Amino acid sequence: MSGALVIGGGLAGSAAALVLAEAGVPVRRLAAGPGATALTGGSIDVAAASPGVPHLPWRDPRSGEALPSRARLRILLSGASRHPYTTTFGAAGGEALAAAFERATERLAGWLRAEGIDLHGSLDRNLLLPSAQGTLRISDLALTGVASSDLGGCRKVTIVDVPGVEGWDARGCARTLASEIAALGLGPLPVEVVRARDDRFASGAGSPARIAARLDGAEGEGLLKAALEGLGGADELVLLPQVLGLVRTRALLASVSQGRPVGEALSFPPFALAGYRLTRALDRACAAAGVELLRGRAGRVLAAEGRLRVEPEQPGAFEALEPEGLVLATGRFVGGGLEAGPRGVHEPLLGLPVSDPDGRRVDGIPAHRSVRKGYANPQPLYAAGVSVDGALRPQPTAPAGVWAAGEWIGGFDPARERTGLGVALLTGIAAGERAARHVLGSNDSGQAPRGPA
Amino acid sequence: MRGYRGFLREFARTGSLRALVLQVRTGIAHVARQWTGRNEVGNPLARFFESYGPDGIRPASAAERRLRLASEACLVCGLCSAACAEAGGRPLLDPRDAVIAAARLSLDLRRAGLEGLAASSCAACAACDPVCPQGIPIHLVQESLAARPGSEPPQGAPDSGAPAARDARGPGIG
Ligand SMILES: Cc1cc2nc3c(=O)[nH]c(=O)nc-3n(C[C@H](O)[C@H](O)[C@H](O)COP(=O)(O)OP(=O)(O)OC[C@H]3O[C@@H](n4cnc5c(N)ncnc54)[C@H](O)[C@@H]3O)c2cc1C
Ligand code: SF4
Ligand code: SF4
Repeated sequence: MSGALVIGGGLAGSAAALVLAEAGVPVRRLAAGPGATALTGGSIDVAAASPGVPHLPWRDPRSGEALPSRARLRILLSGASRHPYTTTFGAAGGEALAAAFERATERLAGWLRAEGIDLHGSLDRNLLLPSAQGTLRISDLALTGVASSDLGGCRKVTIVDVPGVEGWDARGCARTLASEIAALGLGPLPVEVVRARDDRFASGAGSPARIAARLDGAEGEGLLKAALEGLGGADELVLLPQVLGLVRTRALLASVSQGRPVGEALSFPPFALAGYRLTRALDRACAAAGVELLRGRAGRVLAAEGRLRVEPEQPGAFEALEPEGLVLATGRFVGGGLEAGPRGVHEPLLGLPVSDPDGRRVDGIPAHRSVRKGYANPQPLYAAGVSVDGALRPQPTAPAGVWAAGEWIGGFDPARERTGLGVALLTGIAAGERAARHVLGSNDSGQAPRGPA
Repeated sequence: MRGYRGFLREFARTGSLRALVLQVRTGIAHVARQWTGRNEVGNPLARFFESYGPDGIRPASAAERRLRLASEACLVCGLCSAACAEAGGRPLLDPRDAVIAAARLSLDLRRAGLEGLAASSCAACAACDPVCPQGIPIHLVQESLAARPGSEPPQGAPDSGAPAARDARGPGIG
């Protein structure tokens, strides 16, 4: 096989595949499943503020002025030395990193727009996004559905009570949200709970996914309009669980909004649909760009005589692949890029060392031995991954023609530092660009590469 | 009571009422048998049936045990529910709940209020399988639940199954 192979179907792998396809490189994307990207709740965290990390505040502790992500990117670069942002942009500096993100988010927005999802927000303003539990997440970018529930500039929140929707407790959400608003000093911002006038849109459906599928259908729009009749007003947010369609979210929102913000709460599995929508949209974008989508789990990556060879985990599951360039974006324990088993923690494809954020090796050690006691303590394993150099080549030894992207790269904890999808996007694009240069360079003497379909 | 806190924690984690009901039922049966001391005599299989049979619990077959083992890896991420809903499937038991149930229970479905599962169960379109990050063969789990005693359609019940055509799922995950 000539051309490039990307292993990983999350945001990192899809971004790399799209970049390769757009550069004119024949590319395949192999994925065993959807990965952590499909579990995300609706925000694309580039440098979200994190309550658990005092050095990533949402406003200046002295002046009280709001700090946007652009400022937090600078803070991240000056601190965590093994964070992928530092590894790739430590020398270039915060402004260069922010500029790279502006280009990256433009590309992502372009890929998603064609598939019915918009990317909202910027590095210069915080989004205040309520979750289904009523807590507030301060982030920078968000997807259609969740983005419109930004509390910035909002004068009132109306939480829609829909009985029988799994995972949606409007009253509990309102109580927590009111105390969060008070604690952050966002007031006056009243929060009220209103029972949907007409709850036919949800009746008997139970899980948010089933309601969303119903709303995608022909009568869905009318039912939802009837349910939201008379709720909210200009600058008065109508907050819903994640039920606004599985595929038609943008069209549904446009039709039911009618001059007032209607938004979805950030949600967590199993009630989050935003990650499912994102993964589906990325799959469709890849297919449209001419990426060949393969299913299956790779077992190992070999290199002999300067050639790369990717073998399936189950012999015969697919024919061994021999790409000229390889991007590994296999994620961590959810994605399968890291495994914990009888052999301890390990990286299955190349057998690379796995380190915690302090650079200590954690591979070969049973997972439980690396766990620190106490819920609030940072967990080394949550930030463990492979090491890379500034050009995203896995370290200390990886065959030539291999690049790393996404969460597979260690040195940061996506839950604490809240840079999960941001790292996936930035490194996915960068790894794709490097692999494209490599394949196109090595193709110079051979045939002209195939253009994207 | 310790067991019940486990069930409630499970409910908090999964948010699935149906799974909670299923679990509490088995739990009640188990605790009741413990109290009545009905599991002391006889050969193990006979003892099992005497103790748990009346509550609809029965030993699992080897195939069921394999599926149960696979189901234990469930992250309760809900992706299968979304894929199923998108494919237009309308199983009586949501695929996520089916996996939760299969991971923990082995019971006569009449007792779980799931009579008729076979008739109104999933279309076996397998749209749910490829999205599962844990690679659980979800449609086989559904199939095996529907094959349990007590899941036959009640007399005269209409077939409410909505076969979700394989090609209805369009491009995308998998
Ligand atoms: C519950 C949850 C909620 C989150 N919410 C957010 C959020 O709201 N915002 C945010 O920014 N971040 C969030 N994160 C973090 C974010 O999801 C991850 O940091 C990010 O998705 C990582 O993307 P990735 O592409 O690197 O890896 P993944 O999305 O995990 O993708 C890994 C891919 O590699 C494939 N793969 C692995 N091994 C193999 C193999 N051997 N052969 C073939 N394929 C293989 C997998 O099947 C998968 O497709 C959340 C994480 C979790 C767990
Ligand atoms: S096999 Fe089809 S109908 Fe059955 S649970 Fe899976 S997606 Fe739903
Ligand atoms: S997709 Fe798989 S892991 Fe997720 S809830 Fe369904 S069965 Fe469980």
